[in-house]
Amino acid sequence: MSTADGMLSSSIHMVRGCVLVSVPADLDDESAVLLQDEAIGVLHRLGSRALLLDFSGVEAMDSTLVRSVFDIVDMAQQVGARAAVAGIGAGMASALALLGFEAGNVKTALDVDEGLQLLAEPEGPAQHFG
Amino acid sequence: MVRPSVLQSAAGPGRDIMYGRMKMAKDDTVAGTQNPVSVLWDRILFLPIVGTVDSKRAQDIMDIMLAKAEETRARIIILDIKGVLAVDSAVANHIIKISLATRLMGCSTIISGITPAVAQTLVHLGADLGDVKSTGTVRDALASALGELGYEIRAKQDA
Repeated sequence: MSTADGMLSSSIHMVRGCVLVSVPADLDDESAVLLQDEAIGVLHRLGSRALLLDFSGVEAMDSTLVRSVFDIVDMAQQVGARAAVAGIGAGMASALALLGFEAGNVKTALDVDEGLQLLAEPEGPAQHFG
Repeated sequence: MVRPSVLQSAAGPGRDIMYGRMKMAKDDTVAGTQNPVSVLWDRILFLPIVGTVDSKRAQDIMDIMLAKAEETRARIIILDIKGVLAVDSAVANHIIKISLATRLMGCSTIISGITPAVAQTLVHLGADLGDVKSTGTVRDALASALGELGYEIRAKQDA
């Protein structure tokens, strides 16, 4: 995969105030770091308060790579955004569990739709999006 | 050029392949009947585990649960282990593995049917179920699952 800047921005979209990051199936160590930079950068630039990582295009992935993608959730939380992971299929879930991979305190959802619901603004005082 | 057909190869290695396929299909059926997953409520799956749980059975259960969870878009899975003959740390570990996998799909696991004897054994062995929620009865597990999904059970006013 080319590591040219901007190659990855095509997989990051804004959906209803939430930054949606589609994890590419051919992610490697280098582009994973790039994806982290991009995702957090976009989150900051757009002033969004929510980030969703979508794994639905990924059939299988090395657990260390999955970990570095999961790290984006932690990073997003550090900058005060709500974040979650969605779209991990049955095959990948069982493979990761057999390797002892733990989601930790990362929120998970079945698909993007569920993920967006999970991240939806909790009822309360109105908040302003940037 | 002679194309190998199923009939021609029936006496050769092809037969083993066919037999292997049939055996695999049979194994799947057996795994499915031994581990009957039912939809207890919208987005709540229920699986009673009866008998022994070894690593093969645990793998079958995990595969079936994950496939069903994906198919029915389940949010919560209730595993009832009341019928498991011996619950030890190995079984506890299998259950934790299953819960880790379903968790990745946004689906949480509740273990029900922890009898006092099992609770005692697990504590004595120093085995714990980690973050997996556990209840004594299926009733409590269902109540907790419904609560998590935002349902409320109330008696009718005039009942």
